[in-house]
Amino acid sequence: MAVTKISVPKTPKSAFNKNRPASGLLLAQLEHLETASGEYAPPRKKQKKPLTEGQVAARIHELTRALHPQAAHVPLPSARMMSHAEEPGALGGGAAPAGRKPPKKAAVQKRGRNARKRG
Amino acid sequence: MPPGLDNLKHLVVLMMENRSFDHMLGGLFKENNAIDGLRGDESNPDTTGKTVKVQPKAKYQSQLTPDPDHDFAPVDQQIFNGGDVPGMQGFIASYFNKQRNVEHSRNVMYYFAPEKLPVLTTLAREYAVFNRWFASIPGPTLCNRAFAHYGTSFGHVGMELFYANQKFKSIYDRVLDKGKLAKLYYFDQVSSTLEVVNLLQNQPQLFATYPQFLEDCKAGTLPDYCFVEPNYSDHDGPGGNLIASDQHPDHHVAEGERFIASIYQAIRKNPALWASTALLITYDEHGGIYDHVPPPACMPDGFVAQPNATKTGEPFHFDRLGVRVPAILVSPWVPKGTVVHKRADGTERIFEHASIPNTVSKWLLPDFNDNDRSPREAAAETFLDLLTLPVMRPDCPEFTL
Repeated sequence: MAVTKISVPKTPKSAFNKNRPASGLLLAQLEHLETASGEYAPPRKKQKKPLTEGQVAARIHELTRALHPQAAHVPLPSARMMSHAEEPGALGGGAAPAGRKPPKKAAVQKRGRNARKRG
Repeated sequence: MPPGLDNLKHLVVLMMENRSFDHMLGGLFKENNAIDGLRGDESNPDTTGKTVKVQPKAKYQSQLTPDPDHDFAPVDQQIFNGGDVPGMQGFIASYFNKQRNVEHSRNVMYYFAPEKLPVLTTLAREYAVFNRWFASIPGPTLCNRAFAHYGTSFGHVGMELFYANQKFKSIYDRVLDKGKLAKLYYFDQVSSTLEVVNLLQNQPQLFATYPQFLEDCKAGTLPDYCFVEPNYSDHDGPGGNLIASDQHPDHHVAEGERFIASIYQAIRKNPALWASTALLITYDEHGGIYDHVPPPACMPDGFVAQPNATKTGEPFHFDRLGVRVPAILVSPWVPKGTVVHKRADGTERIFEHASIPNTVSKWLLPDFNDNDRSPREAAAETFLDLLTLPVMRPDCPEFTL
């Protein structure tokens, strides 16, 4: 019996915007990670400029790497990986080098709790 | 036992973010009126008193920014609109409060034309779509996701941190205790998991990443039960930009479609895995976006959220569900075009996220004691009875990504 094949459109590159303000969900996730890592400190004053999604993601990366070092040896997802879900070994972004340096801490501010927490 | 259930070795749950049933699948009513979607005359009043009907004008991105409110109190407004009847008439009013822009507030009434979501609508047409799958709480992400992991949120209705060391174990702990395998796959370490404090902090061995999921599918080494999380953020990857795939507004919905298709394809392309796996795709909550079905009452889970937590002036006894969300069960043992709604006696089959741990428990841990989980979970509907076919379907579609 013939199997129907359905083509899934590519997402436009313009969809990517790591400079949008971080959502309440990401800010809550960061707060949880900071708490789990013993690094959470309530901000003393309201931040003037909200953190971006990219800034929060970088900090989440740093904290997750510390909490979950077991994941460091697996290939990182690449933009092409989803296109070849049936053959991940062939198209992984390459194994992450063991002991790769984490992003510089100074590049990411600790976030302020100036947003309502939402999922 | 039906052969599909007899052959079942793996259950995979993929939980996306913040879209209502009508927003994603409501347009399917016009091609199949067994699917309880939109007739076209459903409406909400805007803040000028004008009646605003639903329209198939939903866009992939830039239409729901700022993010519609979905904390407990705003969802209460969306459902009850200040009254006592759950008429689902307060969605526009709630969104208006966000920006005080009348025109923009109407956007929460828009739904996707089915052709704009080729993955989700194909899966709904081909497998089993649930007419009555609701968020567990009329509130935000984390308390709802807690129901998928623990069968309760331990009295929380918000984004609080700690559920650990509570009276009920997570479904992962329960499965591992019986010598079976369970795992949570998050996308990568930049996106991370939303199950941070409660599980990642204490049990990192439970976790792996999306690339590992793909490898495990290829190798046929998926655990008995696993939970998959999408990419929650736009961030840089080794081969270029990685676009968020969780479909949380304002993330691009099409990338979530691609992610869902990739999970499906990873299972579909391994014949042995395809024959022995069921995939449930659902959403944590509705994200403040319109749905026309009032949430029903449910078994209380024994906890009470106080007025200072609900911010409605009233306590919440966890005795009613949140807004309806999309849910689809995928398996070659499910008859094509299944619409899950009523039992033979005419009563409704009502599902919610506590249906997930209950289904896993009933399947993998049939002797599990009901006293060791929440009353809500123990009473929740299960879904593996939908694998009814005597022979596996040979015509299941594939996606090209």
